[in-house]
Amino acid sequence: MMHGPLHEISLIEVLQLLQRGRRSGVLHVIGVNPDAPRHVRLLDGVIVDVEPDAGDDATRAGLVARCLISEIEAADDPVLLDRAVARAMREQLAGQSLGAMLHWQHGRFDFEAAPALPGPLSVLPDTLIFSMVASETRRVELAATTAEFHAVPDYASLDLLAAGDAPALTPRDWRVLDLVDGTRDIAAIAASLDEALEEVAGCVQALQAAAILELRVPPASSAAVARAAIEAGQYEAAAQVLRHRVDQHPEDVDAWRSLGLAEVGAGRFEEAIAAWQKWRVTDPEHAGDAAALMQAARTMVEALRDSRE
Amino acid sequence: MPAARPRDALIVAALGRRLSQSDAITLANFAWFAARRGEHRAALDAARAAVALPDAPHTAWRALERLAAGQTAGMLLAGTGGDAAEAAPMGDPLAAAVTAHRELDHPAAEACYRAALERPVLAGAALNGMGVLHEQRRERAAADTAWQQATASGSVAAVHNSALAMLRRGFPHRARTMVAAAVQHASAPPALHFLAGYAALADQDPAAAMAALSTALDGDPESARAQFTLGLACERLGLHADALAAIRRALLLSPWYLPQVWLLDRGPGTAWLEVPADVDDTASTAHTDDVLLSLGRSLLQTGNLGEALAVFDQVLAHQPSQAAALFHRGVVLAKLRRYHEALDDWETVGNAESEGSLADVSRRHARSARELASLFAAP
Repeated sequence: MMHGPLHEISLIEVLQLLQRGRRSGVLHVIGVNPDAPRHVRLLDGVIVDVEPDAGDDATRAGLVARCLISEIEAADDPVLLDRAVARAMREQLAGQSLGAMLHWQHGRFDFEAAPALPGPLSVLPDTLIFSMVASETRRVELAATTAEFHAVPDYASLDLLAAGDAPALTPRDWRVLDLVDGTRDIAAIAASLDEALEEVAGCVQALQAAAILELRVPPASSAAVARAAIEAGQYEAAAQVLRHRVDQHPEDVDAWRSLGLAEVGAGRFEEAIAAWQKWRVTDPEHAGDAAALMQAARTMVEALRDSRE
Repeated sequence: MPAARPRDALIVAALGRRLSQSDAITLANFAWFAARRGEHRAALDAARAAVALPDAPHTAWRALERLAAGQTAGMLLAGTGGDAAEAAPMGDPLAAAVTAHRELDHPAAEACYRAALERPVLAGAALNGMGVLHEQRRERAAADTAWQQATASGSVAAVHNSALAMLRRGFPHRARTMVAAAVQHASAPPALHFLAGYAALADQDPAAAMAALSTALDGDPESARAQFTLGLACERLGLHADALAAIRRALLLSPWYLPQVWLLDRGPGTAWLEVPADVDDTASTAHTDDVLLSLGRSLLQTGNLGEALAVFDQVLAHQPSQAAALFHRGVVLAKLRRYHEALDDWETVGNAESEGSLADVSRRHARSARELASLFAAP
């Protein structure tokens, strides 16, 4: 039995150790939410299953959510999970889940050695890490050209849209096109689609190159304006900008976090707690940070009440 | 279905133009996109274009099936390859074919029937549908071949349709022969018994028609066409009271008499879908007027003059110069001693039809009416 806290040994290192030792068994990982443990099964050091995020049910649900199969097929097709579309879906879900887990700095892992059993996946931890590095590189490149993914895609002019060759579009491209409305930015579209930011940004860029979409880069990031206001001690102005931002983009976790800071700066601790509560809900990975700040704000509320009494 | 916004319509139209020559997968996915934007027509057109192409994905059939039925929910996206199952028609091409056929979209229907032929369990039904399509295009040899193959596969609808085609081609006796063997089976459906009766009536055998139609009504008492046709058979046999009763029952079930329908098979365990054999309204109106004439004659024979007059008026409202209706209305009017009006109707028939027994009789009646009318003329 191998176990330990994630803040001492990262999951990347754990998986690499298990790969080097060609170990077989189940790696239980408990992250920020203790009620939602993940189970990574290995066979000779190779990841063969990620439960529940890339399990059979999640694979079926992912295919239905992406309009690739019907609910009836999901329930009744006996060979569904052997189909290429299902295998690709499972690999995508496993990649997303493992990618998120590898960033966890809170929680713990427990490896339980067990007899070797095959599974639906075949992912070498080294390969996973290389692909994560590639994704990260791509994400940085795309962030630079899409205003940190806050650029807003919209349809090209009708003349451009109707002209030119017919491009080859993937199902993901169509789902992106479905959500383009000239108001949602790339980050919001990615969140709605439950797809990786770099994948959605890549789709948008390809659709832009095909003269189907055009990209409107916001003149100035409201986050940057708000940060500058906070640094200059102009908390009311910052709070105003950030409230507008979260009204438009309730999925913007940074805006919720900054709004809490601005409210604290303005002396409104109750409002700060409310903002951080939203941050905690929308950004479970930083739930611990949000909880600590909320606790601090509550302490301030009590202290102020005591001083008034 | 969400309401379409004007800009969405323009975007869908522009993108549709760009993708109009694309492969089946792109067209099927465009149908999904257009439907999501509330552009039902564009979605339907794209789905039809997709299924007409080789290797159409099953999502295209599925899209066509739903869109043709006015639905947009449950449409799927097709992958871009790599999954062999994607290219196979896993939807229901037969359901899509029948829906397109009912909508008179014959190219789409044919494409869907051909896809259904690939599946042994659907082949008989698809051949039957193909037979109807060929007959509607007047490709009679192809229709007969398709129905023969469908009948060999056990399609009862094909027996019905091939006999109906023979009847429509002017061979009622041959139609009777074709359906006669099939109705011997205890499990023969009411639709076949009806056709046996309808063909017998067309073959001038009202007694046989009456027997077959009674059997049809035993199996399906709510068949308006069987009730109407029974009324016609009774009237032909001089059983005016029975004719009156049958036609009155029929009119309670339907105001229209549509005796000729193609039966489309939607696959094992499903009910047939009926498609009128006469696609224009004129033909169905003519069938209904035939029955109304029969009803009027029966009413006249049974002394219900007021009702008879109303029925003939109804026919003449559709066809103001319908000779039989004019003649019989003249009879009713004369019986009501409205000789001037009777004279008008008979003179119209006599002047319009220079030859024929009806014209002769009308001219004779007109002379009598003129004499009778003079008796009532002012001194």
